[in-house]
Amino acid sequence: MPDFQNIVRTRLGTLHLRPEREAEIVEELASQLQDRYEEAKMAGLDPKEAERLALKPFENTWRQMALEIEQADASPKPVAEPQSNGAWVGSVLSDVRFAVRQCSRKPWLSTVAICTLALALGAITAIYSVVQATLIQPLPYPHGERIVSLDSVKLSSPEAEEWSSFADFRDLRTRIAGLELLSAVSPVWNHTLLFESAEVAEGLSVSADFAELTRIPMIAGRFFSDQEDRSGGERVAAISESLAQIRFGSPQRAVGKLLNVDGVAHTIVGVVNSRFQWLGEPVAASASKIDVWTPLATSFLADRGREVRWVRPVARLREGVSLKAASDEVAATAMALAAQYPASNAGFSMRLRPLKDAVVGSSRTPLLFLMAMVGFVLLIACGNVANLMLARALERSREMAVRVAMGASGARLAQQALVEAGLLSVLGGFAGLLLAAALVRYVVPTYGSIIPRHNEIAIRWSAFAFSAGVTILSALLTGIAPLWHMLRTAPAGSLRDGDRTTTSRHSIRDGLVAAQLAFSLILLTLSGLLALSLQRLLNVDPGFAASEVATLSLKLPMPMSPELRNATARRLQELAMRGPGVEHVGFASRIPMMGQNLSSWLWVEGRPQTVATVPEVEYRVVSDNYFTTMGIPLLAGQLFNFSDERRANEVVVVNQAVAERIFPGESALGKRVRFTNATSGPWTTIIGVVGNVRHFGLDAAPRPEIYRPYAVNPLTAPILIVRADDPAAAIKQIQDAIRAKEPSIAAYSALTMERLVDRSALRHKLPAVIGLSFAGLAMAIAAVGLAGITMNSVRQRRRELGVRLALGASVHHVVGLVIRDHFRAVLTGTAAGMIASAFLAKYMSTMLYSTSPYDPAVWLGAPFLLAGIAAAACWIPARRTASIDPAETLRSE
Amino acid sequence: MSPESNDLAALRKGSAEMMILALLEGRARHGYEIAKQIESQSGSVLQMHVASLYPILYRLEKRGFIAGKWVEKPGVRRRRYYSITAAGKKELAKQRASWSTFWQALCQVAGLENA
Repeated sequence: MPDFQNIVRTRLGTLHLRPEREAEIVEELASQLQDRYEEAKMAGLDPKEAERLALKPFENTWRQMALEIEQADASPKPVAEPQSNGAWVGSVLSDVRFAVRQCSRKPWLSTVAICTLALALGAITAIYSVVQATLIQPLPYPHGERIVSLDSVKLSSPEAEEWSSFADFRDLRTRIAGLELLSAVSPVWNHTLLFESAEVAEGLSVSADFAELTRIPMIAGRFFSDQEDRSGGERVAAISESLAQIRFGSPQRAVGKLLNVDGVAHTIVGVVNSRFQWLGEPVAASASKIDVWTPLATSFLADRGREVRWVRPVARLREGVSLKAASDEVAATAMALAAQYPASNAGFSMRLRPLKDAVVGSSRTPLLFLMAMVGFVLLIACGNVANLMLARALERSREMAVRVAMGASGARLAQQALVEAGLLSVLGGFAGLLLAAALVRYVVPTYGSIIPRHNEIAIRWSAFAFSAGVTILSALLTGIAPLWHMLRTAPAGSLRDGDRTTTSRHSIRDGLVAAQLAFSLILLTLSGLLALSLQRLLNVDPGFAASEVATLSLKLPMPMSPELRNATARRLQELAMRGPGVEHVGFASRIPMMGQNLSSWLWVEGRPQTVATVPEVEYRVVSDNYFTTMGIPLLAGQLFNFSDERRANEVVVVNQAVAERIFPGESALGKRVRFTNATSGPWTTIIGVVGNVRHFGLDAAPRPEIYRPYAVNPLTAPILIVRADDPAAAIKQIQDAIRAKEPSIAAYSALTMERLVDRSALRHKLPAVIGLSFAGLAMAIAAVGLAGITMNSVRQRRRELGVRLALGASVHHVVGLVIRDHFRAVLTGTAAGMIASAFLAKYMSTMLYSTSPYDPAVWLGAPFLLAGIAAAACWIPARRTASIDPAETLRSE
Repeated sequence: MSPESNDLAALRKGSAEMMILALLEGRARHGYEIAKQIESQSGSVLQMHVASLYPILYRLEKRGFIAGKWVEKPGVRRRRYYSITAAGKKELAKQRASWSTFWQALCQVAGLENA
């Protein structure tokens, strides 16, 4: 028998196929030849003749067959084949190419769509990054979700933040079974560290268990132990990585060295990694960086009585113990302590709350509000892109109809629509991600001080995933509108009708416009409320002349006698008076808007008061010219002065709130009061009443405040206040002068009062500013969308409108017709937006300052503004009807 | 090549494809058998040129309408048998429908007798 395989191989030539495939084909063809050969032989032909007959059909066709085989092997797989993955990828790729061509054919339309999505996605990613860091991410401590904060509550004034005494903390530690690692934290606002010159540092006094509770990361050495955390123990401290680096060269070198903290030598036992941050009170919201960590029990306050409340206990729920069970136990313990120590603890209770709630605090509502707002912006953007896509789909309805008529399936067209929408979303999403990064870079430094955990904010993978999820969702959303239209297109109708309007496309587009306007109105109304509230807040009189005053924090070297401190203060006052344009100089222990305060009980002579009922007042120590310097008016009586040093202990000045609330219906002047202790200490006489000051921020109502003369307690850390024409320049020069002439005195934080006031309004400014920009953005997007569809409908109804004009209708009438067509959508959107806003506004009351969530100015203004913009967006393109030439239209008809 | 001749080639190829799919509907067959069946079932009116048969088979296989498998039986040379796939059955139904529409139209227009 001839070697047919060899024959086939030589005649076929080389096929450009995989070798295995080629071998198979050769074998199969050879087999066919063999069959024919054998058949011929069976019929009685001789081998030579049989071979010729077998090969006959192939004569002169080898080359052609080889080519056809190669082509067959390269033929594409069918597209609608679910089991063939490769084919699907291929069809998507071809759709992507198609989409790119489509987009580049209408660059403006595509650019508008991509920019719209980029803005919305950028905003949502940025806000989500903030929300993720602040609200979602677990606290960065082991079992962070089980860490709780124990807050004292004064039953007669539950809104005030209450601290606990050291003795209470020690009792809680031994009595509460449901909590473990019960620790306490207390801030030391300004330690003086003495190197070659004085330096001020923020510190935290903590109990030793704090290290295990937070698993504080040490970069060198160790945290202090239980043995070191007791009164009279050896003085030790842990310091921050940056302090170790700057002052000792490296963390390792710092360990074992002595550090002079407030005049006392401390041995550095360890260095805390810079990335560690305590998020709980009392430093949660402040931007301060802790440099020094000292054992709580070594504080001079540790051996004071239970009436001195200065620590914040914090602990971890034991495994399996519920928050409720532990809360009950804590409340019961507080009740037992109140019964046991009525003089100090009567009228006090304790409550337990997750530390995370304490950290997030009042930021939750504004952040969720912003999140909802960006959500609306995204919905508007998606609606707009869908509208653009729909417009494009309408232009292509003929093409679609042809494809449907030729048998293209709904799924196939859907895939193409989604690919096109997806392409826009991916490009928009990518640009949005870049925008988000830029936004985060702006928001964190500007508003960081009011965002808890702001240093954890970054565009993260979770934010990216969220952004991608939103992008895909928006691709689906924007894909739906054109798809809806496509699948509802009756091919024959579209083929016949060309570009005449159908009612279905109208209802979709009007629906989209109405939804966009509704969301815009929600944004406009809610941010309008915030803006109004902000404006009212900024108009609030803080009670002092903020624009002319600047302050400088000072720390005198320790130890220093009261007389010496007094003398130093006089020296500093003289030095400050020489500053440029300085009119007045004063000192105070605490100044408004700095976030620091100190309170005291106020016992009134002749009144039957107990710990539970005694009023609490804010306690300040100020120099005699403090009031003049700050511009706080004297309302009754007189002020004290420096020359009154001997009488200093006998006089006190109170604010209007004290006079009104504690002495209602009588004059406060001449009344005698005591602080801290009801039964001991000298009586002091109220000699003057001054105006109220908004100490805690513009939005916080003034609290009762008392002022004692500087000579009673010459401060170690006074705050210098100057009043000058140019306070910023003056305070800077004074700071330089003190540093040059008094190197042992630390002079830091030179700030104008105006800046402090602004900072206190940030909490209101952030949502208002962002909300208003989003509202503006949303309205712009919606207006562009509305103008677009009006323009389109003018174009589509050209013939009809032309006929009307030809029959004698006025341009005015025809423009009215076009506007009326869309104004139903505007009205529907406005109504829906108002209903939704009414529902949402009630959640905003905590964010508003002296503004009702249903303020009539906003509720009337916002819909009118929106309707006005919508009318303009309709009217401008509708004016194009005027350019229609009736005669020409009739001819073309 | 003019577009018309292209269409005719496509038509021929289309009919050949349908015939092959129809033949494989009942059972798996090898290439030589397919060629013989077309000839015998059409009463020798249609002849499948073997040189055209194999490229068509390979194309159908590549497109997933048929699947080829080498079968070895004792004492017999191994052969490649083709069977129809689910996708092939769908394709066959589609082609039958469009051919019958085409045929009916042709009958009406050209006044042919309906077979």
